Amino acid sequence: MDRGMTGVLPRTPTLEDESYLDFMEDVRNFAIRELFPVMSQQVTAAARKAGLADDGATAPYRELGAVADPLPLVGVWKRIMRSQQQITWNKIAATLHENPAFYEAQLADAEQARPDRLHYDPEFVVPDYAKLDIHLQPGGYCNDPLAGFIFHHGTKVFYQGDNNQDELHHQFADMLLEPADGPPKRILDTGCSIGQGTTALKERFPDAEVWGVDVGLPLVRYGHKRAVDLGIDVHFAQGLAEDLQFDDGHFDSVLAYILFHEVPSRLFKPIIREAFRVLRPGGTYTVVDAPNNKAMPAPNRVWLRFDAIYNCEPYSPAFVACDLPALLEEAGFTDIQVEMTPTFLTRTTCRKP
Amino acid sequence: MSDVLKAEEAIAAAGKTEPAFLSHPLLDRLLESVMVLSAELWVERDRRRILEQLLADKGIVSPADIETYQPAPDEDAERARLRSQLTHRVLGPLAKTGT
Repeated sequence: MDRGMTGVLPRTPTLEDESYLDFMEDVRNFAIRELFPVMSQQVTAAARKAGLADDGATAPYRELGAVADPLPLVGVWKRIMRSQQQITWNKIAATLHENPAFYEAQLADAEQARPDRLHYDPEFVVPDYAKLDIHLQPGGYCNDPLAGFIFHHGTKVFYQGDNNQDELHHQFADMLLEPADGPPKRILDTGCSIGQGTTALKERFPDAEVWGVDVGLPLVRYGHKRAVDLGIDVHFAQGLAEDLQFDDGHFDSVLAYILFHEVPSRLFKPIIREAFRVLRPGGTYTVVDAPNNKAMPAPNRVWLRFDAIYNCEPYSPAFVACDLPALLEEAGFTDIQVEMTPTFLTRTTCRKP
Repeated sequence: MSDVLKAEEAIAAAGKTEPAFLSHPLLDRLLESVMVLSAELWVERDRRRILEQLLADKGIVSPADIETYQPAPDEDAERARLRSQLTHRVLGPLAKTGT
């Protein structure tokens, strides 16, 4: 059943799903806002008692795990966090898969309405690194035709109510650094997922040609459908940030919103090199992602390790440990600025000379 | 800088089967929470199922009316408050210090 929209957020297919996912959102809130602080105190105390360096902030993961994992509350927290994810994904995916043709038709209709705004090659080969069930989403971003629908409903829970109307995406679109000579005329959103940032960029720069590129075809197809529904004129393409199908100097600005922590570290340099290549001189690169190259308290490192292993975020620790500004500088970017945003993410901006 | 957890290590550590995190009496408390939750869920579901059946049989409210019902903003706030109460009733004991 089509239950319509609440603003730009689609309602779940059934009332039961809505109630169920609302409940899971509360469970997630509880685990993060109430259980994690209590757990943090215990982890820090245990790390201190065990004599780990800097209360566990700099101890090897293996040593920190040996101290934290036996704590009962750590186990409870992990179980709640993991089960919440699994229950949420499975619940909404099961409902959507009861009637896949209904959702496939929506994607096909949008494709028929605006074929000139969706670009993909049926011969495209998805790299192995992108085939994982990231965040435990069944089928990941590439292996379920309905992944975009599933992702949108599931991440509503993930964002804990803070992004129901794409508020965060608007916030980060607003953080895109403008070129010194004026607003960008061509913008690229790399790792655009379902295009919430892509459409937010278009709304900020209505005269610009805006492209969203992502490895997941189901995601960009959904992003395209969503943009058509919203009446926002943007392009979507299946593609790789490390191998962009655009000419040198095509764009004025490139955004990478939470892209880097979802790719293997060997791709950091190629991705930055490609952003540099497709930017024109004077163009800007804005990266919004997890803080990197910073000391992290032991409880947060327990969370990062949990996410990496048990929430299928295996690439994240390598990004957190890397020195992004150094990589940007090495690629030739200048005027590199790093700042913490009001959220849990860092904004890094730079310019191509 | 501390050491780095490599992607291959994380993928290998995740394994193929569902991991176990618990081996302590807290497991019992968690199970208790799940049971309380299941009970609350069933009470609500059973009552609602009967109610919906009666309403439909009497031609008062159809299932479609319920599915497409759009709550008013203040009503939504009340829903959120009641839901939060339930979350705390079910999960609250886990956050008590001393666990």
